[in-house]
Amino acid sequence: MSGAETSVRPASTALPEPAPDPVVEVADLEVDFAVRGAIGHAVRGVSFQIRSGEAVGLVGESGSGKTVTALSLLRLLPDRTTRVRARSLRVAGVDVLGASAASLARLRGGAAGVVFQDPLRALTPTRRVGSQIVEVIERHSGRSRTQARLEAVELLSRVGIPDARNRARDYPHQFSGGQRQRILLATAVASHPRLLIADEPTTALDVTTQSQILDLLLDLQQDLKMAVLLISHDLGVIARVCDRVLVMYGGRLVETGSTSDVFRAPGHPYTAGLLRSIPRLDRPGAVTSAIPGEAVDGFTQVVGCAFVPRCSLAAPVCTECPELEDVTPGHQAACWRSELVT
Amino acid sequence: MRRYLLSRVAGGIGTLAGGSVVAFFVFHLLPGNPAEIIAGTHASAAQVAAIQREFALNQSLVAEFVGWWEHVLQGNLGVSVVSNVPVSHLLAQTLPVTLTLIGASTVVALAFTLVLSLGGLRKGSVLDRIALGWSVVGLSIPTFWLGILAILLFAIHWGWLPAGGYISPYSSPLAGLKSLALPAITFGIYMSAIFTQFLRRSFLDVMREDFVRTARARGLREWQVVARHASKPAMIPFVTVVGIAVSTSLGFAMVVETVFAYPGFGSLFVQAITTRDYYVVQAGIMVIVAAVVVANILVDVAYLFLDPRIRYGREG
Repeated sequence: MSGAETSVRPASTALPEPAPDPVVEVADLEVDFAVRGAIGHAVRGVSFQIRSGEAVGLVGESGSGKTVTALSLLRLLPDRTTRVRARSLRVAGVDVLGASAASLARLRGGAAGVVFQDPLRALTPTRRVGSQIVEVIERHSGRSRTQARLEAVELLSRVGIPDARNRARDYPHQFSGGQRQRILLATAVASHPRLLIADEPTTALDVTTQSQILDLLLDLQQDLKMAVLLISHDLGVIARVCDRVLVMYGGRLVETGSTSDVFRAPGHPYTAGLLRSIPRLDRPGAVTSAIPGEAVDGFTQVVGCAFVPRCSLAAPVCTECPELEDVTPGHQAACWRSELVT
Repeated sequence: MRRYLLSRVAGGIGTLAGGSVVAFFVFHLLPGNPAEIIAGTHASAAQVAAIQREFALNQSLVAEFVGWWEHVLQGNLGVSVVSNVPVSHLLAQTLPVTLTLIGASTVVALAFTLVLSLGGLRKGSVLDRIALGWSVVGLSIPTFWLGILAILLFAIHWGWLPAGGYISPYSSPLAGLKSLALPAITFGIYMSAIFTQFLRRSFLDVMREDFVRTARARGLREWQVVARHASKPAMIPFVTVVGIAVSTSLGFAMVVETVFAYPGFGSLFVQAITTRDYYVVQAGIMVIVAAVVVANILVDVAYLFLDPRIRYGREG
């Protein structure tokens, strides 16, 4: 858990101007994967939208399906072992499941950039960092190589790499962890995408660096008016960056709403449990408690609500699968007993 | 970077020194002394003594070893006991022939390998299965058997290519290439089986790396992902294997050259062992050790080109 304070971002700074079309539109996303002959269900019917310029957090334990959901948006899962289905899956106007290889390639890195967790492994070790930015600009902005080089250097100094002109010629291993993540961010936003997908971008970093990277992320988001899908298991990170939050459990969305609503009055016992498990510096006496039991994985047969075995509010009704329903307008939870959640 | 290279060269010199000890003492470990071995089983004591004098074998071992090194450093590797030709002449005659064979075999092997290993880009694809089958079958077939089979078919049955011998491809290209074809392909198939196994594995591993996914997430086309991001990292473990294979191929050349009556270093070495040609065997062992050392240094130089982490040190 990060030491970043769990203060909720003021809602007023959100949305420069709400664009009519959502950048991301997902309806009934299902992702199955095959491991040694067994079929698992990583995502079981997830629907959500992300509007232009909006920062949305996707929270859940490892195995909850959050990374798989994010990767499906650009079909970055291995074809051979996974199957992605959806009633609708549109990113920046592109029908991702029906798209040709060429239009999918234009979308990836063009209208949608991605930042991954471990910046050392996510940057190619045998390629200069400058070239890794240049190739994005060349590919998607149609600039000449000379022009792209200039832009890459500019971008490197924009993300806070000192002496960018010379350092563009260095290789990833010659940078610190925080700098590598800055560089990875630079490659992801090099084509001024409408959407930035950030998969646990600060998990591999120490707390101080984590905080600087989040500042940079927010900064870039405002500057480029990007929508952001931030995946994290760290509620502190989500609270700092996101306008809205999606909570996943067992491959399903169990709660969605504005960050402030969800954090102040969670409507699902799982979210409430996550919030209780954060150590609070501002309330020294408060008890921190972990959620008992283990998370379900894609191979578990689930009847009804997947959280039942770990839930203190479980009741007979929970053997039926709850749908997302309004707790308050704009704040939904998939729980039969959400009014009892504290 | 300079320190890296210096340390490799120093290590190579150490290996050569160690190899020379083996090369020198190998005959002394055989029953009897070298003079008796050279003289053969039916020689008289006087003949043995004459040989001892002739080859200065009547001093202490250490003195003899030092004397041998002095000669080696002056370029004098001794004279063949069997043919009375200086060993350096024999090597100058046969090594280029064998290096031509190894070079041609390596080209054949790499051609097969590069095509087949592309199967490793997609696990389970048709090409990938062919590559896997190729590496298993190619490694299982004994090279001498494949060579004999090739001679039977292409030389005797169809009469397309010569059954053996060597014509220099540098002086008469067409006839030379024809004489090279069968041994090079036989040898190349074996090498390509080893290469394919490693390069396929290497590609399979690299294509699972995070940075390959990142490259795809940048919208690069698959060939760009492979060419710019996957190929160099995949080559790093592969050049090691090529280095080992090429350096040990001097030993393998003995089999291939014997089958194809190919007048190269391998044939010379085999002959020298059977006739107990003292100085030729010593020099031959040194040549093999030197080949391993040189190949290893070349591999280390290749790393410098492929891996910036070595070129610029680990950190900073």
